Amino acid sequence: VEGRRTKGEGRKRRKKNKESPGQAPGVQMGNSEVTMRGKFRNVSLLCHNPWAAALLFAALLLLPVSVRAADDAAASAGANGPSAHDTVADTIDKVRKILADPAYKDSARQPALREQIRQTVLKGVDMDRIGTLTLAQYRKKFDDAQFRRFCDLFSRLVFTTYISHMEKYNGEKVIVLNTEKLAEDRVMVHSKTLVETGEVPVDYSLVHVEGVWKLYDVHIEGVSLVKNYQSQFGEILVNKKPDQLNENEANLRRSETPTPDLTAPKQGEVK
Amino acid sequence: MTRICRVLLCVTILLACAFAVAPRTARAASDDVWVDEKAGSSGTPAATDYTIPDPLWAWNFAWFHVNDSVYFWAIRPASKGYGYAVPKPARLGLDNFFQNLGFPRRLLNSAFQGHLDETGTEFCRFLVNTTIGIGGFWSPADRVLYLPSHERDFDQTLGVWGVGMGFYLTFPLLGPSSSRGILGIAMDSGTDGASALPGGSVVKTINSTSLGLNPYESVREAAVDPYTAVRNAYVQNRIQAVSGKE
Repeated sequence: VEGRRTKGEGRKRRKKNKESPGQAPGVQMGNSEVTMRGKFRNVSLLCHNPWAAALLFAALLLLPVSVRAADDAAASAGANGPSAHDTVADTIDKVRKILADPAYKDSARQPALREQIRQTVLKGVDMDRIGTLTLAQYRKKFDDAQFRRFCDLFSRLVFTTYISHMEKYNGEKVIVLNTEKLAEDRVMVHSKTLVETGEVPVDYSLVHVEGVWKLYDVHIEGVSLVKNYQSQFGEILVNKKPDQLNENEANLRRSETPTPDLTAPKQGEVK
Repeated sequence: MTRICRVLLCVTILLACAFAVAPRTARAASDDVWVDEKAGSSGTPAATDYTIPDPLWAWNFAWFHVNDSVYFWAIRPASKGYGYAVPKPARLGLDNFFQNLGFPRRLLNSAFQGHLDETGTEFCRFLVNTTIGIGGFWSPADRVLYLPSHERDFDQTLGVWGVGMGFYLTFPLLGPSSSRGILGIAMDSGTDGASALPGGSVVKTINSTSLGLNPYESVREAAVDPYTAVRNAYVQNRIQAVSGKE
């Protein structure tokens, strides 16, 4: 699999994507050093071009209006709660803080902190939606009980696998970039993780459900997690029954550390 | 000699057929998986067409398992040992060095794909990193000048030119590819400096694995059906690369 990190790709991405609806003020929007270099270049150009300066001044006057209009349009779905951008940024921040806690290295305290991460992530995930999307046309093969068991096993599998990657976190910087509007109630929040050898782009797809933004897909270096599982489950379900898929997942998990049920509804949560 | 020519001719004809006959992997209207739900009939979502014909399944499946064993029994232990023996700054320097050696491949392919701005950037990066960066072991183009590098390869170029991916093909040791990828690998090995160095590709793989840059393990260990997971990740990655989003 070709998956090389692209150095400095974030700048191009920011240029390409329209600035986002629902972008939170005060949240880091990019590599500050890169941004400053860009600013200085613009200032030196303006010194030699008064027309450009006048146009920029006019644009600056209009900026608050246009930004507000764009925010209103894009965040119309999420007017009552935090924006999709804030939801992603807050969740990443909370998870990073727990992982950076020295207590996480203590094996006695790690299970409790893992549970804390799970709860934090769970709040922002629409597991039923992920289950439906990964099963695609085979969803109708599942009755309610089978689907619940599938979602339970699938969420456990994904959580157990990815928590081990998250635990390798070594203080890498995560920058939440812009929000791209996909539909009236759906957005994609772009982010990048700065590692020593470059950047890893990670994009989050969110849907607005009952006043909150919920995650339904993650793209790591352009590879969608849901599409990847969709192909795997499709390959299995073309010949096998739902219970056999569930059995496969259960077998896969037997050798892994048990994690609590990700799909269990919490108090006051509508499933 | 005539026999070799015949074999080559047959392979060429087969490849031409593969590109012409195999349907080009369709790209969804959007990267969003949700689109499929709307497109699906009877209220259930339809699977995205991120598939590739796999007529040589038995060959591919067998080599997938061989490569998988090679990764877990040879490459990973070797990279761990190498990681203990060689300090991280040296490994990062070597990663920069190999990245710098890939300059001709990136330069040519960004030009072939019409990204002339990237071609210029690549040229500047190479000059700066080779001179100030002491042969490319340090990357002032990234750290000081913020000149972005763009991964470009010949398989991607063929895709941009409208050549279909063809069918899926797993190569011994090289991993997942496609009938289009054969040409890509051949061209890239001729234009990437790492391939020209004796043992360069092996050292590059072990070095990048020791730095945690090999994405294979992540895809493999989260998979219910590892073969399909790797094939799908390859297809998604190539489609993204060709569409220019990556």
